[in-house]
Amino acid sequence: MATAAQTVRRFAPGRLANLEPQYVILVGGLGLILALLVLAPLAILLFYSLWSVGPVDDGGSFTLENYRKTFLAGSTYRLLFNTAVFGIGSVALGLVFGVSLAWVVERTNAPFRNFAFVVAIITAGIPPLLYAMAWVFLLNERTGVFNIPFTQWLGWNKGIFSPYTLGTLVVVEAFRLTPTIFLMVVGLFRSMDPALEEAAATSGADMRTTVRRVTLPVMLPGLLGVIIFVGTATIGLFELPAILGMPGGIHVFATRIYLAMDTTPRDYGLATSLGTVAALIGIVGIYYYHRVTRVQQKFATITGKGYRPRRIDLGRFRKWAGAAIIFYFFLMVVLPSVVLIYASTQPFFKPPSISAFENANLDAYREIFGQEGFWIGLRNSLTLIATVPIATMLVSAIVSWVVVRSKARGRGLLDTLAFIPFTAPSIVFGLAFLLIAFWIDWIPVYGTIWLIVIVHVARFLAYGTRATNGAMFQLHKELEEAGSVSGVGWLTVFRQITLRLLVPSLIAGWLWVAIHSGRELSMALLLSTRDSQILSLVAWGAWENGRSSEAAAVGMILMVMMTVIVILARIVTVRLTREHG
Amino acid sequence: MAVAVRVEGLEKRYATDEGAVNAVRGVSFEVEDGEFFTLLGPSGCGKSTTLRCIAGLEKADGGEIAIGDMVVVSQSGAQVPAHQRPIGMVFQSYAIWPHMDVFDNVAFPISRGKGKLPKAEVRERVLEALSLVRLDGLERRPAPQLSGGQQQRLALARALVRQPKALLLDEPLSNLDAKLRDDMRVELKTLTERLNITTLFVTHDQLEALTLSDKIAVMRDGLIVQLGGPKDIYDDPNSRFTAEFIGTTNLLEGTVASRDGDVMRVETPQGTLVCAALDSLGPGDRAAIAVRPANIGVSAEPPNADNVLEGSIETVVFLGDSHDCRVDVGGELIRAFVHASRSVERGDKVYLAMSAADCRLLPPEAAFVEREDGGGASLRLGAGASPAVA
Ligand SMILES: Nc1ncnc2c1ncn2[C@@H]1O[C@H](COP(=O)(O)OP(=O)(O)OP(=O)(O)O)[C@@H](O)[C@H]1O
Ligand SMILES: [Mg+2]
Repeated sequence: MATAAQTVRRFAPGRLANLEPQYVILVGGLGLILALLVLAPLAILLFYSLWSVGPVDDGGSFTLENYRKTFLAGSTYRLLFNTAVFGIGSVALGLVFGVSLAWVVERTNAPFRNFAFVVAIITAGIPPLLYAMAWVFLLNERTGVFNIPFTQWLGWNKGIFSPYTLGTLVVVEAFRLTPTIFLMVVGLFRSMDPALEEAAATSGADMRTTVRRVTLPVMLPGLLGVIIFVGTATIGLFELPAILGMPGGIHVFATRIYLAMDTTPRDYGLATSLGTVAALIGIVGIYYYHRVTRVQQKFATITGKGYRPRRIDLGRFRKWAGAAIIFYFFLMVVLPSVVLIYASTQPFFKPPSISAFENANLDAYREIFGQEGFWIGLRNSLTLIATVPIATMLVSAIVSWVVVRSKARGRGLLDTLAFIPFTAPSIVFGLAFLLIAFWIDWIPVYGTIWLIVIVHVARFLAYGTRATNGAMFQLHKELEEAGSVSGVGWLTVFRQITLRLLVPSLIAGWLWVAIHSGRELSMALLLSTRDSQILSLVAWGAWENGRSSEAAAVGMILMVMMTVIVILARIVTVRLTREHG
Repeated sequence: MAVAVRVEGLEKRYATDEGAVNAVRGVSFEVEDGEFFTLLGPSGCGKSTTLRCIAGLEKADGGEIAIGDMVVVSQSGAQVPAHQRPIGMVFQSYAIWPHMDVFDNVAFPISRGKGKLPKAEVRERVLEALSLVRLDGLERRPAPQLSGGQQQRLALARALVRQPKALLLDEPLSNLDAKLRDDMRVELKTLTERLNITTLFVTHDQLEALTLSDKIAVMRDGLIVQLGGPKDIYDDPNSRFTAEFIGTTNLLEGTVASRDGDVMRVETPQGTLVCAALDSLGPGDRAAIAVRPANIGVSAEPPNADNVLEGSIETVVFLGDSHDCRVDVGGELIRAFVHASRSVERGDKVYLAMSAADCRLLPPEAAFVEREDGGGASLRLGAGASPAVA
């Protein structure tokens, strides 16, 4: 055995001799795969933004013309302005809602506190597309539920609310972001040692001073991380601006790129140059996200032992806080669900009335069940949910293992590679893969669901690896070393010990990816053909063609699927945690 | 006797943000079959690193390691991966796998990979290992539900079940509370003796090292500074560092005045002392004298001894079976023990008696070079070494 090992690496002197061959293969292989999945699309995007013709035409030459045209157009500046207002406005408003809610839930004695978590979990299953549709039904100038007092009681021909304004867009997105921000901020509250606040209190500071001088400054790095995280996601969002913005001519990056690709002939120059700019903005955001979270790790000492939240007695405001939580549940869950169910039974959307209820029917469902497209979409969506989360979490676990555990060179690069997809808006990522599909048309993936599977995995790796990195850091390294010194090979140790101990985090990550993959629209938007369409796309198609009841019906089915997944994942997690005590 | 573990010129560097750390800088030793060998030293001296290089968990940067007749790290840089080395290891955190029960934890090394055994034999071997560490009957208990001491014994059973050529233990007792640690120490001693297994033990606790070991290597800054049996090291430290790290010691500094056959006279500020001669020293050389507190007699009347010093008691601490006294002799505090039956008080005039054989002369390089050391060593300083500590 010893002699065999001695012959392993005689050939390589110096540095190289210290590399184990399996690491070289692992890191090299992973690096190559990630580079293909991540760098190649962005490189191709950049290339076409600097090329005079699109991928379908021959010839072409290097040019800055695309950028010149893009930045000479006034519409581009309106778009930048809209994106800024949309991003900053909705994140700021969402932060107000989310932080207040988190504070009420974590630090006060308000009733119905656990309810807020239920809301956060349920809303995770609502596709943004559907959420936006619900608000159209609610705010429509003539038929919107909120406008009933004006249209029906006052007899005006339109109400004061309109779904198609920048303001609506900001507010609805803020609502949609609230559960996410809430969950992240709750995490921040929990990782903070209550003794820090108690020390301030015993130093004579009152509650307001304590919050202002201790709580907020200590949480600031974490909050900045949250802001950049949701901000980057919002800037790249397609669904809400598409449904609430486009009809009113309000464009952001994602919708403008969609439009450029939806016209004939496709305007590749505009799409790629805008996409490159959006990706650059994302890269800057991510750079700061990295820096901020690094600072946060330095603050890691704020983690206290045995968390005992010190709850503030709200006194007579207690019932108001409880009412706010119920209102939040109503706004986030009840209202959109009810209005969507209702809309799916109305051939033409009318405000709720006796005659409307009498005319309610299930025609829309009958109609979509009769369409072949729906069944293709259903099959493809199920394929996505069955493959994308598992593949993503498995690759994430391996990448994290290399990044966190191995001493392999280039592991930092691997980590960065895995995180890059986060920088570009989903639709830009889809666009880039479309360009690639033209290049590698000899690989028969274009037009199949597998192309979309690959794109989703590439994109969600950014989230998956964050989850597994964190879990791997917390896994005591000696647990794996004990496996190695037991005479068991690396692969067995990884399978039987590392993966097994990561199961709770893997399930959490799986759920996150499953939900996002199942409800995702914008990546598939440019990539799907008839045979590779997915449910969210079927809903979008119906909506665009004015068949709102069908769109709502497909949306309802999608939502039920998501909810079932969420509930199943919860059950499995609870089981597991009970088993492992 | 055959050599079970051979380490030669072992080197290990870590690359860190602040540059390279030379954790191990050329360590060599041999462990014989069935021997209990301890690496002892203050925190950060490279004990764990040495052990982990032997286990294959760290890659050695230089040197050679052999376990039995298998060369696991060769001069050419070739390394046998950890899982192919015939070892068992117990970690400081025990590293009990929480997703398995007691039986599965122990069975893991022999039911997977190359060393896989038939089911019946696995069962037999696991039960045998469990009864060895007195965990019989707990096979189906989920691992996280064990107490600290039980987890520790489980880790030991898991390390032993493969019947390794060498058992590696990295501070296995340090996570236990004091009483349990005493029991486990005795148990570990009996067990390794009974199995006659070659054991490499890492600790920073001198008591563990002295009571368990057949041989001790005292490490400091990535080097072995002294190697020998527990008694040799205790009685005959070759440096101030060893003298201070192992047990408590009084150190008196002075100059060699003359040599007279086997004894030397040394001038110190406290008086002239007679010590066993050291060949490397001659008249006029600076030197230090190490005396264990236990070897100092304390009396009210002038005693008859090779060396007698006169002083007054500065502090007295009652230890139950004795008084721990610090005696001011010419401005230096010397630590000595007085039997509990005698009453001593602060300010008492006393005489300190030391035989020449108990006064160890330490050569100047050992005595004076190592003053800057912080860390573990200075915590154990005897009274004489540094008045500030008293
Ligand atoms: N993974 C690592 N990266 C960088 N430096 C390290 C690493 N592991 C150990 N070191 C450094 O190497 C030196 C020796 O470490 P080692 O763990 O061997 O000490 P030790 O003698 O076991 O100490 P302790 O009693 O505290 O466990 C220390 O200075 C330590 O900081
Ligand atoms: Mg150590």
